[in-house]
Amino acid sequence: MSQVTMPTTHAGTDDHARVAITSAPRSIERPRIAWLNFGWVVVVAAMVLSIVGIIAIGTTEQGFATRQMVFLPVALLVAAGVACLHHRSARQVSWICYWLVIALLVFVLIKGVPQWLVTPRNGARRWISLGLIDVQPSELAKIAWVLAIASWLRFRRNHRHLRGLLVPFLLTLLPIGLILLEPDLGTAMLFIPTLLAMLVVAGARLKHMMAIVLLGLVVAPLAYPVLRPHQKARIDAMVAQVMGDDRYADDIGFQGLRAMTVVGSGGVEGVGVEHAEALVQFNALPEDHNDMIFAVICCRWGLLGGAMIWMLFMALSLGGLLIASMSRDPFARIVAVGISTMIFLQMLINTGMTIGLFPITGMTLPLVSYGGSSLVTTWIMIGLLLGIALRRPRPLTPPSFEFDEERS
Amino acid sequence: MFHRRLLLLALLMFLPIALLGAQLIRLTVVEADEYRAIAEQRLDRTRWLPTWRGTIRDRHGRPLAIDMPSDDVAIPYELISGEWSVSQAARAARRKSGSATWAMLDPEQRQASIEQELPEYEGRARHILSLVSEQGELGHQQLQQRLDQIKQRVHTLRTSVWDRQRRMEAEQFDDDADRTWKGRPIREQRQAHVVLRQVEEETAFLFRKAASEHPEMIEVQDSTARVNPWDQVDVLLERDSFPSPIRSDQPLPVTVHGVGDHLVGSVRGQVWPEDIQRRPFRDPDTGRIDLGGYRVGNDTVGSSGIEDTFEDHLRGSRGSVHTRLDTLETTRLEPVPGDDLDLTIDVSLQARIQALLEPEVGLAVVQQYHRGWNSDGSPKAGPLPLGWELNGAVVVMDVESAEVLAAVSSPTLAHGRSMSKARRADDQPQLNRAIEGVYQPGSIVKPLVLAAALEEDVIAPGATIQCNGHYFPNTPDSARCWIYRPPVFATHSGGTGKGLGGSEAIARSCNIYFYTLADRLGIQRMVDWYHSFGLGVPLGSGAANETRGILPDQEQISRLLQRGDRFSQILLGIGQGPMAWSPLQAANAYATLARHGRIKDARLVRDVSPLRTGDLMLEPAHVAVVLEGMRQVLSERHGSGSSIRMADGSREKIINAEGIITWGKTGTAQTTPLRLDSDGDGTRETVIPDADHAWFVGLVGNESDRTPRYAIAVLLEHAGSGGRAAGPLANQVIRALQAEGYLETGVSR
Repeated sequence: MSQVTMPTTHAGTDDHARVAITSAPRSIERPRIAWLNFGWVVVVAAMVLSIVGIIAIGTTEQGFATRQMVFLPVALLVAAGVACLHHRSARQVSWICYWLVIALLVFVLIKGVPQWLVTPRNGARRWISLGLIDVQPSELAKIAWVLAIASWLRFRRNHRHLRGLLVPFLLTLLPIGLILLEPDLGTAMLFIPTLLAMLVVAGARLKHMMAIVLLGLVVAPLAYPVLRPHQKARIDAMVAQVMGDDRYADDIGFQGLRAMTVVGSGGVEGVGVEHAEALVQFNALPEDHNDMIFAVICCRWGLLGGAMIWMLFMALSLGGLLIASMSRDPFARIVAVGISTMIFLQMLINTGMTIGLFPITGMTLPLVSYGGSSLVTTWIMIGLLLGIALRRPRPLTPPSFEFDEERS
Repeated sequence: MFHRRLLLLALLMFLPIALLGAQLIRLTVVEADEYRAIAEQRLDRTRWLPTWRGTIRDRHGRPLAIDMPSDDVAIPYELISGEWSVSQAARAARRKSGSATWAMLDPEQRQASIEQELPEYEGRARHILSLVSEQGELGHQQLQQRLDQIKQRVHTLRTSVWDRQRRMEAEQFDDDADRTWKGRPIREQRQAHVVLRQVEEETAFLFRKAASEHPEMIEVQDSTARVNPWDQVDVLLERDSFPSPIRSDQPLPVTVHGVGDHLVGSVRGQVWPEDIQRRPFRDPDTGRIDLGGYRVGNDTVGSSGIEDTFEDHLRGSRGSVHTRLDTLETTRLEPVPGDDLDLTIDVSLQARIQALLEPEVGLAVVQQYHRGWNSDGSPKAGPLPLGWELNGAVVVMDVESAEVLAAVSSPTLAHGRSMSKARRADDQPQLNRAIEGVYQPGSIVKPLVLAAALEEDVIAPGATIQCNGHYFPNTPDSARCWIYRPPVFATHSGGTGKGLGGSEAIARSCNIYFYTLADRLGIQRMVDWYHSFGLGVPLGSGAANETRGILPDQEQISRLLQRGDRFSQILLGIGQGPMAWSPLQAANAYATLARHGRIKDARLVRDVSPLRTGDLMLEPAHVAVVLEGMRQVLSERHGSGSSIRMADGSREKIINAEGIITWGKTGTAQTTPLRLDSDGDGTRETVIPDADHAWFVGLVGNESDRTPRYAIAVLLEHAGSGGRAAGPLANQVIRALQAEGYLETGVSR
């Protein structure tokens, strides 16, 4: 079969051919590394975003930037480690990871846990303190859940029926429910669209997906009454803000309006580093180094800076989709799509709330915002993407999720 | 299929990015300037610098009201409202437990740890408040009252601010307002409020020390105090020229308080909503800053008298320190102090005259010589008891320049402060009688009526009129002469059968003569002439609340004419009926007469521009007739104001100052009954009829040149006889003018 000899095409002599033939079975066992791949697009985009992030954080407070500079190599090392592993290993541990993370999500909610271990901040129980670093189980949940869904979907076809969607949705609703209890609305909001994206590429029927989206659009307003007061107020404030009404300017809408003011004052080309520092500081933009970093970027580099950030994220996410398209492994495909969508959505929600299109939720801009935990998590995702991109498909792998020829 | 799905996903990603991009373009391109302006504004901080008010000075440049640096003590609103200790304890409790732990605690636990801290902060609050009450010499209750006032004020302000916000929101989002509107603390709830104003230097030092220890609890603020250097003046009164019953060789030291207070007026330390309405610091529509405008809080605002009338002149405008927060560049705009204001008043003359009106001196209390004695030597009765303190006013003005040298009103504001509430209601110490008070003039208008009649040619300078005791032949009980009464029913022509000439009519103050003139002039011409002499028109003296006086208007005149009510019309000829004026107007009219009709109205402020100009062009010969009558009033035996008959039948000259010449007219003006609240229950149940106002209005000059230099108006309310009650006071006013060097003394020393 031609596939068997394929790896030997470059062999020039019989000797070589012999060697090649003897090594052929191994090459079937262990796919070789494809150094030239779209993974690097993703890595370069992520790298540039991380560096821009450090510079932007430096605009608000140099101390944070310095610490972020320490976090970045750590994150890169972790990502490199992840990229070295074959995605097969990830698949193998995906269920363990999933249930472990579910356990951690439950753990942070247990009231009896000592405070030095789980420290509530602003009334939310999201963090486990581990001395040097704090771990956010919901951050880990994003990865573990993507892996678990990918594992579940990889050889299945029953998600092309409504009944088959039940398990993926249950697997998703479990972490969502736990994360909402923390509470962390922003993170919880990422899961459903990501699941839909993974299902779409896994070949689920579009009419089912559309139906779910429509159902969600109908049900979401009904959920308004059961939201917590501060969540309602944020939505009210956001609606008012978009309508050009500044009555929330002093309380709930304060952050949003300040962010819009800082963004707007950047203009097209930005105001430069020194003036941006002053504007950000004296406009008292809350969470400027963190959730609101996009506002700082827009102030310093203007519309061009904001557009550049979006372009980098587009490069990152489209790169992820290209990686999925190059891969033949069903698990890898779903993981690549899940990660790309997840990062894209997080960027969308964060920048959207910064410029006043979405309600304010505690959501960081991946790679750019200050925060070691978030940086490491995102770089693990980048590492996974690179790992997938590096692995050439096994010669005998049939392309997955090609349901076209079927008649339903 | 997989790749098509990927393509679909990729395309779906562009959709929200396009939406976000549109919004970002809106912010950074379309609305960029707006946001930029708001953001830049926050880089600027402006601190406003206080200014100071202009000085009010007398005619010789002596200050009557001046801003002096001073210190105010202020405490934060929370301390005033009593929330301070709880909020501080809560803060301390949170600090102690750490904000992370604090967030974990349930309400009961929080409450418990707050209560643990509470005693400490309650103690501190008590300490500061007791320091304030101790140093401010306030009783506990007084302090609480003061704090309650501040609380009340802030509360009222908050209510109105919230109302306005809610209303604006309701207008904008009609139905939603009640649900979404949320009251937030107003600025005044976060500010410190002044509890002790203008404290002494040592007290200020003490509070400065306290403020350095507890900066969150107490503040010492720079301020200015409005000071009247003439607040207390000692005057030594010579009494050897007083009427004999109160005469003494011993000079009397008299301390007068608040000289010129009525004129200068007062300032308040609080800005009122109407001030802001009139001249806002920040225009609510355009946002423009008026550095001389008013903003909520403590500020000096003229509230009465000249301080009020000339508020904009005296006020000045604030300075500012403008700081760029990022570069710390500051630009400083110095405050512009208010302009000074020069009054025409001579404050030492004012003080002397004010002293003359003090009850202890005896000239302004009811004396038996005011009432007189019967022919058998028994004292006559009077409507008011002996020793009754008489309220009154004195105006002295320069004839040529029309500048008012003194305008005194009694009781003064300083008297008023020690009066009971009922007494204040009766005596109205806040009223500046010299300028605001309106009184029936009575006979003092007679010289003006004669001048008018001569000018209008209704009587020739040499012509005479018979006095038969009553004007209307068939009604002997109305329009009578003042001497035509029981038991004698005397008339001015009765003894001689001769008619009265103009001068003599004034000297004897014959009513019949002036009824006749009034009848010949007719009410319209009478009223016109009174107008010309400054009655019923504003004089524009510059003083607040200057009265126009009362005179029948056109409608009343035509009603009187229609009714054919001749009596009411001719009453105006003797200064009764529907007319009244102030002492200032009386002096002003006489000064106009003395200037032969050249109109130059009285003024109290140097630089006010006159409201009226013109010349009545009185014939000198006519004025001479009038002045001759006025001279006779005081100097001839038949003059109604020449002398007082004492208990022993002896006569004492009323005007006994030497080296001067006087022209004058006394008036005993009938007025409405005096009503008093003698038991202090708020209703004026005691009615005293027949208590006439006593007037003396005259002109005085040096004997050497026989020119009228000063016009003097003296009024004693309800004192009865003008000659006997107001006359001796006028005599002392003339002596005060001599003492201050305005007139020659006639004695060469």
